[in-house]
Amino acid sequence: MKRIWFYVIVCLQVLFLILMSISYYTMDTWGESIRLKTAPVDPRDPFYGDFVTLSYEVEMVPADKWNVSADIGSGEKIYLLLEPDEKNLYTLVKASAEKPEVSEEEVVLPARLDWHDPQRGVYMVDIGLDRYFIEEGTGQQYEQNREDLIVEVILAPWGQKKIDSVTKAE
Amino acid sequence: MKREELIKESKEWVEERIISEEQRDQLLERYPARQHKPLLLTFAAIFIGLGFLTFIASNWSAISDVFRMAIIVGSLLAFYVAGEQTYRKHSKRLGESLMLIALMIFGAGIFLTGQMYHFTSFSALPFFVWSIAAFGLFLLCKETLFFIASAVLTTVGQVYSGVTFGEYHIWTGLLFILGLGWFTAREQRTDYSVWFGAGYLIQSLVLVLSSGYPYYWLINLILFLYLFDDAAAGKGKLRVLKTFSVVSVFLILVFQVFFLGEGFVEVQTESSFYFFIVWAVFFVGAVVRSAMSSTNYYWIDLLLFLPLFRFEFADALSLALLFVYSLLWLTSGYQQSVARWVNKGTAALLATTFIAYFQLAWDFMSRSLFFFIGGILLFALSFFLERKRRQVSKGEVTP
Repeated sequence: MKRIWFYVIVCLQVLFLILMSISYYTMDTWGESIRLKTAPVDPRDPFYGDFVTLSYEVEMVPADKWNVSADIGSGEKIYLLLEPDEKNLYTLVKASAEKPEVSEEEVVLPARLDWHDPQRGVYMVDIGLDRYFIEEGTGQQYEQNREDLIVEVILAPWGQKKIDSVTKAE
Repeated sequence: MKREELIKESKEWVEERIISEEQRDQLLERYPARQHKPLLLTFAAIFIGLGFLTFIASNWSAISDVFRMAIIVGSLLAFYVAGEQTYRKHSKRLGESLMLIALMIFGAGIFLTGQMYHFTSFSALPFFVWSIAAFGLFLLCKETLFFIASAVLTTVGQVYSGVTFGEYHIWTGLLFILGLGWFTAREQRTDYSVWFGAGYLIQSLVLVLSSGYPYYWLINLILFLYLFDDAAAGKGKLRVLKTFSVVSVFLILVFQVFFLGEGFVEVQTESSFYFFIVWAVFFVGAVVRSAMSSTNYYWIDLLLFLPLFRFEFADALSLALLFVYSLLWLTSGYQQSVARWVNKGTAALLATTFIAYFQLAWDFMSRSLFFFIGGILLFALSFFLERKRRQVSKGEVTP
């Protein structure tokens, strides 16, 4: 066994873990911060030990904003184009299968199709931020008004995203 | 004789001039001091390790993120360095175990770091990175342990990908097929084949189920494994992959017996054109291979790979094929006095009879009668076959 290569492999593993950690911290500097409004959560009990289940308004795409061909399957990737409203909350402009062009204010959020509800005419998508980890025992403060929370999300240029904070809507 | 006894006794022999001092040393060399395995020390280390681990686990949420990272990276490095030193200087077995622990810490570290920093994974990428680390260790020291670790991690990652994301992770698949497949073919070792074969079959299932291919694509994938066996099994070694593939395709036929009946209207034919092209290439290859083989009987196995699902009575045809298959092995086993073939045919015939009985009689017989008659039937059949089998293994039946 060549010792140098062994330590190269070990160092790469350490580097991988450290990069995971560093990229999280550098997101605050390089990333873009957007505010999203939450939506009611189904199932009823959103507490699962140490995290809160969140759902967002932008995850419900009405049919008229759905610019994706009909043969898309569940789990496939789509892009949400968002723009800020007057309260600086980001709302949906449209959903598309290809990455859309963005103007000054707009941002693009990748998501996956969950399911299509033809009765209500909405497409449910998942932006992958449905878990907010909290310290144990602090779930109570999120329990009331949990459909009325403002989630501050940071989007990194390299595609990573995280929940920065969860606050009650004013 | 124990070394301690010998030391005492031989001292007297030297004094009595029976042997010389040199001869005494030579004799003593034949009884080296037994190395006491540090059993208690090992347990002590395990206990301290467990204490440390439970302490960290129970206080995990109270530890700050940076300190958590330090614990993960620190223990990772400690186990790797200790493992490498031990592997090189003292014991290979202990060294590779320590390195395996470090590898497990790396994997746990990926998921813990991901949880700490709220990463959301959209694919089996964490398992892929973990598998690469395992495979890298295997490349360096060529220890079976790391071959197994790579095979298990890629397969678990693939199952995770299939269950959680409903997709086959292509990079993990490539690492498994090209990386581990290459060494399975090159080293021609039975243990490699077992792990590779098991992983291959599970991953094939994930590929077919999660990518929405019709189930019959499994036949092609298994046929490939059947062909791959020629590369992977050394001369005179166990044909592990061949056995694996024959057993799996047998199970597929059983599946067809039960599910391709009248109720099964939807036969997905869209991709069956490509299926037949791939199948034809593999099958011709297999036929050529069996024609070149020294025994003229291996074509019997190939019967199982026939794509019967396209025919109208696919369930009945599958059942008939299973019977033909079993009887062919039985009769050629008797004719050639090959006990292994007779065993194979016996097992196949018993299974097939049971399946046929289940399929035909379940619906219109009362349950107790069904099991009662079935039991007697199987008993009679196994009695008859066992007697024949013993004759063959004793060599009483002449060809």
